[in-house]
Amino acid sequence: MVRNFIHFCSDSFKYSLSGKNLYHVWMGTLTFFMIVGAFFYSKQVTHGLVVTGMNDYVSWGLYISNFTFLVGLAAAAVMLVLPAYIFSDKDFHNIVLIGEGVAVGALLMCLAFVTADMGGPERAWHLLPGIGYFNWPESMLAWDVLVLNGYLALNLFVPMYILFQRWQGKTPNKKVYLPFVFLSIFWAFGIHLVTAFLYAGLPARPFWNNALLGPRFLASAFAGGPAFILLLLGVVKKFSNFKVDAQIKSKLALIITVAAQINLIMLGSEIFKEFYTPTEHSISAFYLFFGVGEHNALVPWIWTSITLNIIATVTLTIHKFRSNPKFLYPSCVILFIAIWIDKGMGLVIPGFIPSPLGEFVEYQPTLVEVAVSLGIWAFGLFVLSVLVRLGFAIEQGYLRKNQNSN
Amino acid sequence: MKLLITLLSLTFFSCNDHHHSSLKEKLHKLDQSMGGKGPVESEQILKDRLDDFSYQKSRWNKKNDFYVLERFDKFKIGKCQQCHDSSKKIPNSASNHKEVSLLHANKEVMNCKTCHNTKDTWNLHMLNNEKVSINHPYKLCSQCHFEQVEDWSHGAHGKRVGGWHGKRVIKNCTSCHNPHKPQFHNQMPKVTPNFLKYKR
Amino acid sequence: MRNFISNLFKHNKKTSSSQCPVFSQDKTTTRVDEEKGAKQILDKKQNRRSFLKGMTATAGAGASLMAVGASNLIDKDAKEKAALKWEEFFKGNYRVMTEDEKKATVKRLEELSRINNNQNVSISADAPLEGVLFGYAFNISKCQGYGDCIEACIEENNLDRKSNMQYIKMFEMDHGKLNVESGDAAYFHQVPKDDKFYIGTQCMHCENPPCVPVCPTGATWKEKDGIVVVDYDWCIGCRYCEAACPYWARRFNWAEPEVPKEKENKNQHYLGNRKKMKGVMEKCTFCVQRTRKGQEPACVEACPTGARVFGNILDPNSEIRYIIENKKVFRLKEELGTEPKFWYYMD
Repeated sequence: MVRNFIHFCSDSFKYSLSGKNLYHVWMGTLTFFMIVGAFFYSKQVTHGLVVTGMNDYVSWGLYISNFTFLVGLAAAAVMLVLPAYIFSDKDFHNIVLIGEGVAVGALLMCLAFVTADMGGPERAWHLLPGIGYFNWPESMLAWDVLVLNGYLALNLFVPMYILFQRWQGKTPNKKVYLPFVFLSIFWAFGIHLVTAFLYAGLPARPFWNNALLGPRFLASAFAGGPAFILLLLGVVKKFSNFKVDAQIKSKLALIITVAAQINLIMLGSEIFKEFYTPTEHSISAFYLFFGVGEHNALVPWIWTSITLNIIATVTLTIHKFRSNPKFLYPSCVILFIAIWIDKGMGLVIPGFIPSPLGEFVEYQPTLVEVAVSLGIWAFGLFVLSVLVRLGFAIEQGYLRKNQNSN
Repeated sequence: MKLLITLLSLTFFSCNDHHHSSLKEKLHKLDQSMGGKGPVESEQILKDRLDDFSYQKSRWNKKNDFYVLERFDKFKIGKCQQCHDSSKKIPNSASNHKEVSLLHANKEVMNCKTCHNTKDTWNLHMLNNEKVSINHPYKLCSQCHFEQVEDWSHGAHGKRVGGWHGKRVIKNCTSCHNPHKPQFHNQMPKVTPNFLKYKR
Repeated sequence: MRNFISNLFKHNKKTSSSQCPVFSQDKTTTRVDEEKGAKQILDKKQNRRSFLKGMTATAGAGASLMAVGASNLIDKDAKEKAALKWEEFFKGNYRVMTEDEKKATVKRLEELSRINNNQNVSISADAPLEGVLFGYAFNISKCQGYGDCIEACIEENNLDRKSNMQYIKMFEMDHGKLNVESGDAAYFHQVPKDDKFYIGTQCMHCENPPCVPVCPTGATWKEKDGIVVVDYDWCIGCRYCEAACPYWARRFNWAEPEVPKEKENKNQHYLGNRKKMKGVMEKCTFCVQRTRKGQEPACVEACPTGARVFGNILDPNSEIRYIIENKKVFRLKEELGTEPKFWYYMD
């Protein structure tokens, strides 16, 4: 069996290296960004995090913003898994592997962003229980390490098993993978709740310290993630001859719409709480939405996000537009961008401004941060491209054991 | 499954009871366990540092002993006996000690004779003419500034020298306050604030 | 196992260049070391870490040692430095170290300071004193905003001069509010200004520190004498504690800290003012290198107006106890339940 598995790995590896010219151009571009990112990361390793725009006032920036958003993207895979296995929807069954591929790519990006943000990445072994000191269950970050790696393991194991079986021409045994699938459904909610609790559990930051943060994270994840998957399926349909069922698009679009609506309702609730009777604790919200004094760097960002969000949600709500790809795809794009801004710049940064003692110091990411972030995104997309191609190829019979790949 | 995880985590979080007992309760508990005594004087940690100072015991506070820094050898102008010698005759003139300007209380309340006695220049005197040593001026100051002196004797005012542990040696009133001009001075801050570089 | 490895390095210094120390190890030494190793099996954490070390060591040390032993060109100091750095990298969390391990790491750090900077420092690993819980009081009526405290703190704690790192933050306040949020921390003019008063903040050394449970590696904790400390060698630099502190007390070394050699305070403590590296957290430690020897923190000693008071709150006769019990004291952000041991009062 081991030899088979090695054969499967080498076959997959060979398959990922081959493809149309467009594929090579795409992968090449991604590789370029990865190399640039690595170069700038080396500067960060040499000089320290002083090369970023972060400081003692705003101590988390672009890296953790992206991390927060990407955990949501990873959790969104559950939105494909749930209908496929709980509701036994045949259409979704075919594309579940895509969701898990997205989850793996997003999780690897999360881990990369956290490593990039760490002051001492060579000391990451301090987290390992036994040889290090793992402060669980006290530290929410320890919980996060646990759940993210667990989710990664789940999303690696299940598709790997299914694909391995299919590659051999066998049917995957439900008894082997189904329990893990069910586990991953609950685990997906878990990872994003834990990440939300990271923020919500800090009484020092009143902007984050509210009960709605966890549910808000889930709502925005389940709107933005499936939007990304929908776009991904569009790309797959356009650039390959893999078959994607038409029903999936409308079902996914419905999921996105409902999640986006819930997200907007939660946003409304947060805005009401902060601005109806503002207290001193609302000052971060004032900074974000209206600016305080001359400090207003985030105001255009958040209003863009809200506008795009509303446009996307309204468009998707109307059935006529939702079923029309000319409106559906752009809506997904702008929804994705809106949620990225909302969860990244619109959540992490205002939590630090003003500081707990009232100081206003604004944040501006530097070239190093942008380059490294782009590099990590490129890495994630690289992994995603490899996995999605592989998934489709094996699922639809193009890649089999003892056969030349397409 | 989710419920199980929540319940499990609740048991973990509720175990941290010690986080929530107040400081006051802790103090009370520890006080009782130590029989109301202070920390054990394990070693004369500060003997060397206190050796730099000359100090005397004060009997102001009956409850806890403390020592005050001597003032007698700190005078810059000169020893009083250079002029105030019983053998010499000094003209009684208001122009003596012109270098000292009295900016303490206003003229109706205080003048030189309020504290100083020309006949006994070694010492100061209280309102009831009782003698006060220059090394223990707080007795004098307490006549008006009784709140500050009370605070000072217990540590809420003034400065301790040597360290927080061991013999309590504190600065005298006049170690910090010039009795003729007690106000603190204006100066530039010693360092530029770190936040200044972020302010536009 | 660990002793075996370190003996290997020590052995390396003494043997001649032509011999290969790995294979010429004296049998008796090995047996003695193995006996010591057997005793250490009880300490599971040690064994696992040294196992990891051993694995990597056997792989790398075999090849590198042969090369090193064969060449006499490499500086003796460099070899020693490498050995020390190796040991330092693989050591554990100070929080769970035994007394011997603490002594060993302190010795290594002193050696490294000598080799790297030609600076002889004395790093202590003083344990908390019995029956002591430190408390701090700040008299708002007395503070004139002079900043002697900040200057003394910078010099005492070897703070990074390049980024002007300051543990203490001083606010110039308008009358009418006690909220430091409304204060100005960027004042730089003659002080005190007539219509203003001054409040200083620093680490409050809370009894319920919110920064302690959030650390994923347990690199920060509250000691028995109440001081909240950081093990600079264990911190991975995630800055979660910085986000969790409600008093903005924590500082991160964004770059390698720079302290002029002649100004370095050589009386150091492992948890206090020793040299830090980039990528780790630090903060006010109530001058643990001084207070565990009975001295006052540098800021308390430097204040010319006596606005700062420090002592043992478990001592019913202490000054700090008198202030807490008799003056009208308050603490910042009481509603958060952090129980800071830093009280403010006014005359």
